[in-house]
Amino acid sequence: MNNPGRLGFLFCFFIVFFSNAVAQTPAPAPADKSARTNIDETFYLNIIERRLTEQDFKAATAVSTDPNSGLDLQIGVGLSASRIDVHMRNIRGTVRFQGTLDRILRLLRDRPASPQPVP
Amino acid sequence: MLAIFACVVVFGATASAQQTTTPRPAAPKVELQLNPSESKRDSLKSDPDVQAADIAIIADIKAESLLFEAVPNPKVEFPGNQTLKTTWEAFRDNLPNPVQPGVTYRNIGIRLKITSAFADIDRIVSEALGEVPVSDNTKPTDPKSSSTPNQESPATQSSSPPPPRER
Repeated sequence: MNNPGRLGFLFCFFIVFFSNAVAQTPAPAPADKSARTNIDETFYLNIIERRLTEQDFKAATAVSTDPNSGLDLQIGVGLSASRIDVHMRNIRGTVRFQGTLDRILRLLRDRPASPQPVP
Repeated sequence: MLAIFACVVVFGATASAQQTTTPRPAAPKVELQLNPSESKRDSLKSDPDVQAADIAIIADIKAESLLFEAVPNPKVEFPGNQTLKTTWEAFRDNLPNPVQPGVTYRNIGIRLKITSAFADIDRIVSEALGEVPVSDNTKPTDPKSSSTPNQESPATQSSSPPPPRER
């Protein structure tokens, strides 16, 4: 269930419609071993009619560096809900997720390293 | 591919059900696609908030009707091991806050923009390059905090992005 597709879908109906409870938390264990430093996905919704029910729903997506590289960075977004039961008709729209560590990686690449690291 | 597979699973049943319960020969199939058009991408790229963000979520949705049998209590989190600065804007049409169970809302519109960025990118870079000691990340703007044991998650302490600004 931890995948951007489902996350994208549910963002439409739960983050958008309800969420007042927002928080920042420690990063969860990544879904796969390979670190992604970029996400850029757009989901086009065109739902004629559907009923969605879920219990204890959890989904997250994040970008991160490989900790073995010496730089341990993670940033992402996650969503959880204990119960979901919704009927919907003629839903149209887009949901876009964009995450990148390029800004930091670019700074690291372009800035010369300190000759004498501070202990 | 994982996303596409998930979308097919999520929406595939809907398309099948509609063919048997509410036949609509001219109705388009339920679909969820990746690979957005270039125009959409370009408009988002020109958004300064999105450009400055390390992670962004943008949604623009319209619905003919929504009915919640149960009103969920969703929780949105921004996982990470660094302090983040998050902004949140939500625009709702014909949809109260909170919604009520058993009520059908019609002709609704939602626009959402969430952006989140590392709050102290210079410190992160300086630490990575060994120019400054590695801090516990709890209060990146306060040098005294660097020697404080990290009792809380660094992200949790900084956390709460401002509440959604609704219009």
